[in-house]
Amino acid sequence: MKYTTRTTALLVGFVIATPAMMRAQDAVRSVSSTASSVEADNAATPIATLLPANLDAVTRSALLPILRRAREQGLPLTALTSKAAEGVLRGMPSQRIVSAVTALKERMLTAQSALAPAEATEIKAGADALSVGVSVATLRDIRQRRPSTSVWVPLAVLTQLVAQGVPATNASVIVLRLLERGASTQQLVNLRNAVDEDISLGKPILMALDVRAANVLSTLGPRPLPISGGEMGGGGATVTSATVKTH
Amino acid sequence: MDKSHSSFPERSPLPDDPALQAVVETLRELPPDNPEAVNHIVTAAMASPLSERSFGFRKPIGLWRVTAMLGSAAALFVVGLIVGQRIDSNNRSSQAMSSVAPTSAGVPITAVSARTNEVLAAESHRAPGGLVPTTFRLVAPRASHVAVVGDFNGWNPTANILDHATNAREWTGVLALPPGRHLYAFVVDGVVTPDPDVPSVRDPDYDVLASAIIVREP
Repeated sequence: MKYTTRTTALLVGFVIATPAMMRAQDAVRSVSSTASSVEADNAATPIATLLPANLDAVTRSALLPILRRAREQGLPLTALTSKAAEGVLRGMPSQRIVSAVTALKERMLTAQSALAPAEATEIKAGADALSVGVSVATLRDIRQRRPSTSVWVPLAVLTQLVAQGVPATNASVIVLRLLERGASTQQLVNLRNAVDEDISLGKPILMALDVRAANVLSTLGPRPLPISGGEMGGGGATVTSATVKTH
Repeated sequence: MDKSHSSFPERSPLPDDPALQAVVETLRELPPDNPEAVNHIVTAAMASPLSERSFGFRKPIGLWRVTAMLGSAAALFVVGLIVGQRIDSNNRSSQAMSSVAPTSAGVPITAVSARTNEVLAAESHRAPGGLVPTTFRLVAPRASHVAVVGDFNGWNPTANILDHATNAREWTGVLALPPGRHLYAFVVDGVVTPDPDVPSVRDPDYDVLASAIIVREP
């Protein structure tokens, strides 16, 4: 009797669990589909299939040679096709979409050169940084300070700071200084989050950045000897966070 | 005052308690073991094959019972499969229903938030392929359809529709995103709008506002 009850309970539990298991499998499938949509860009994929289906024929024919050239140059196509899709969603005219994709391709090419050797995520992050006004020299300096590890996080943090209103020069100096002193990517992200919190509390962004950066710097090791070429792409100048004026 | 406690007289567990003494005497009067009976039981137990002795465990299950159990389990699994698919298809059809009746612009958004694994580290786990589960939230009580779009899904407004419980104000969705800085926006009843809870950034190529998140591996 006890055995029958136990078996019945086991089977009932199994039946109840089955839908949950199926849903979990669906979740895994959806995760995979997101990944495939992002990572569909490889040499074997026909370029035409990467463009959004609702793109008009004129825009499509204008974009195809741009994308072919980008693939030859080793640029990640996903960012370019996504830019085209964004234009379609926002109702941009054909010429505007082509211009936007062309401009992004040029930025990615510049970033690829400045960050060489660069992986796709770094190229995209470098292009984003250039789009908000970060200089090519800063990209080179960041690579110089992180020659063997990915620099997409420092670039993303820098881009975000500039996009939120910090002058590109100030933000670049602080990020470079933090990298020079050995700040981890986690510290950089924490810095950005802390600045976000300060902004939400009403503090001026420059003041928030300077204070938070000084806090991080105070936890890092001693300042190393100046690197040949200096910060900001030359001149041998060494700049501390104190030189970034706050107001 | 608790009357149920006060109605019982206090009883001492000492040997001079007559009731207790009666119990003790009764137990003492049990007959001694019968050696013949004990010997008979032990002999019978030793004579039986080891596999048939239970020793407190269940008896072995016959082949026909195993077959019947497996058959029942398979049948119930099929039933569960069908039920699961029904549940799933119902959910999908309800989503489709909400997407076919978009209203015009002007839906008020009281608060919106999107947080990456940086903030929701405790809720995050690494997904297959290095993707990071990222939660998007939007409080739009009067919206009938909300989706999130961005460079992670090709700005496709049908790719990632947010869910919300009936009568709930909040729309949510968890997306598996690759590490990187992503631009995104919400599509609220067909209107592309940046995340008002996150500082907007200007897209220089289209000269429009968007929101940005940095997704890192946990």
